[in-house]
Amino acid sequence: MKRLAIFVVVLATGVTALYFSQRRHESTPVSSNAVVEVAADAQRNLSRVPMRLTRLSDDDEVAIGKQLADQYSAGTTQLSPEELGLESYIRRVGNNVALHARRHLPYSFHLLPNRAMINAFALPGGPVYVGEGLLDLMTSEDQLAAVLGHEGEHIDHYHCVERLQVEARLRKLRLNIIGALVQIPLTIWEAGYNKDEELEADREGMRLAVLGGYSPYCAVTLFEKFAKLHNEYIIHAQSPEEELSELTIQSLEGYFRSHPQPSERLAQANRLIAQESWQDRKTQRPFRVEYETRSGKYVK
Amino acid sequence: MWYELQPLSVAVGWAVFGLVLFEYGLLRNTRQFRFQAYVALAAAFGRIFFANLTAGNPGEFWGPRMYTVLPLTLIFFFVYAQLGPDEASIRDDRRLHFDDLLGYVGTGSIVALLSFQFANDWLVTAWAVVVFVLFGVALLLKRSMFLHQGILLIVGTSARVMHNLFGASYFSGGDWTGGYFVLGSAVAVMLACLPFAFRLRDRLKAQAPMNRLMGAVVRHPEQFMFFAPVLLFTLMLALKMRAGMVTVAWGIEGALIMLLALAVSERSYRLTGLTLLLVCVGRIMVRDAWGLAPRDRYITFIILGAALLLVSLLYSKYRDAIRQFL
Repeated sequence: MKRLAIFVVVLATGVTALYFSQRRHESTPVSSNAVVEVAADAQRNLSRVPMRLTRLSDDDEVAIGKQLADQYSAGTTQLSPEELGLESYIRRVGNNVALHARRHLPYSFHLLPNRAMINAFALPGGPVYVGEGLLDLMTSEDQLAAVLGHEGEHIDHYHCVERLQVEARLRKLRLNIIGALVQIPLTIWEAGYNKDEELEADREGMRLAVLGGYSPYCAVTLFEKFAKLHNEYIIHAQSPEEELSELTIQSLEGYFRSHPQPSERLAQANRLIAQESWQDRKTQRPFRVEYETRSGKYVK
Repeated sequence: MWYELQPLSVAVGWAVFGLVLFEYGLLRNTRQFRFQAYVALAAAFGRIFFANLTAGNPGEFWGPRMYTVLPLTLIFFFVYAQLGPDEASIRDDRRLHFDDLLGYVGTGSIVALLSFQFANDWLVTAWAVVVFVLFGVALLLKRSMFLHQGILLIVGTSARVMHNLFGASYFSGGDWTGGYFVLGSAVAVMLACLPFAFRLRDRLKAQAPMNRLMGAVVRHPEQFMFFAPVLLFTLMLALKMRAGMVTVAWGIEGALIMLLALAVSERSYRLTGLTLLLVCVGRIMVRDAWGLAPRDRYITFIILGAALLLVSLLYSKYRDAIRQFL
């Protein structure tokens, strides 16, 4: 009798949970994020001590970063004068933001002239790349500052160099041997970092942007835009087939594969603004690239 | 169900279905229904990693994650409880270790839920509380599986502490809660498991020996429950304390460990306390006497001197007791 009563209670609890989850209006995306998060977390926790003990010097990091940048940029097309104008704009904003980084590295900022690339990434030692597709989403210079600050902080906080060390270990590469870096593909830098590192880069990147004279709301407006895009981008699966296709799509290239949920980043940005009393710094500068034209054509 | 239910509800649906199937299998004494139920329950557990654990909005505590995973845990443990050793009709289920599967899946769902529910820093404390509960349950229900789970989780918690010790930002200093309170509370909860661990050890002593490796690990839970927190605490002091105060802190810790060792008459504890005090003496001679600021040096000498005096006093007072567990 007692056993039956317990069974009824357990069953009722299950059915109630079923009822509430069915009634929930907000759709829940099916994703492998939880598994990826657990694996990335475990890897990071286990690698922290060896990383600290085998830290590369700043000089080595810069030299490796330069070598990687040369390697990846070999064979890329020459930028058009319009794109050069855009790149010099990125460089100006980036330098302004990077001035306040903790480590004094030779930060450099580059444009990737690909409108389909809604992403940005950084290499160890200083190089930062921004896809043209991501720039297309921006409406203010402050938003660009937030993205560049975020990527700069991946370098500043050793996320890039630690990834390099992990990759070198996994691929059994010796970083002091010339040519060893050829085996490290560009995709590992585009893939983003674990949740902790991404949120840290968001936080610290916002601080850099604010120290550079930009509005902290740049990150908020950007994350709101990302959240909207994220909702449009993901498939709200209604069947097992759609769930499986959603899991497949998540493995495709894109910004949302490599970063935490925009809602989480937005919540952190708002928390930081309240914590630092930045509420009065709302004004954002327009995204304005200055070109020089001669006879109706863009020139350098 | 997979087609008809919302993605969030699928795991719950499968688990409820598994529960009904299990009950029916038990009622009709039909093995195949029960086996199908285990498959449904295991699938429900796997499913939470794809839809439930990341559900909800940031900062939401009683959200969909909680109200879908907790009932699942309840179902897992209910089914586990039905697979008790006294039931003859489910001998095959136990032979195939479905009882263990359900027990591990139940605890696994709680551990996973906490991982996504708590802020990263506090996770170690949450897991330490689960270890405490597991040890308590192992003692209460006399089921060694919970002890095994507790030992596994203590290893996991110790690995996770690396996040708190080394995972913080390289530049942001962090406040005292990040520095001491979170880890201190985790260590305190782990040490609170010691009374359970001693009673479990005494009980296991009376049981038949198991294989050598497992036996060595499982028969001495009190060693796990002592060395894991002590190691973490010692590391925390080394990493989070001001450089000048590390020897003092270790000295106090060593003296406290000696007191604990005398209270529980445990040789390994006593040797640990002594080793820590000797390390402090070595550190003073090699480093602190020459490298510290005058104020830190005076404090170090006074406190460590007092700690050593206390230990020698205890040694002479409890000479006979110490001789017994040498």
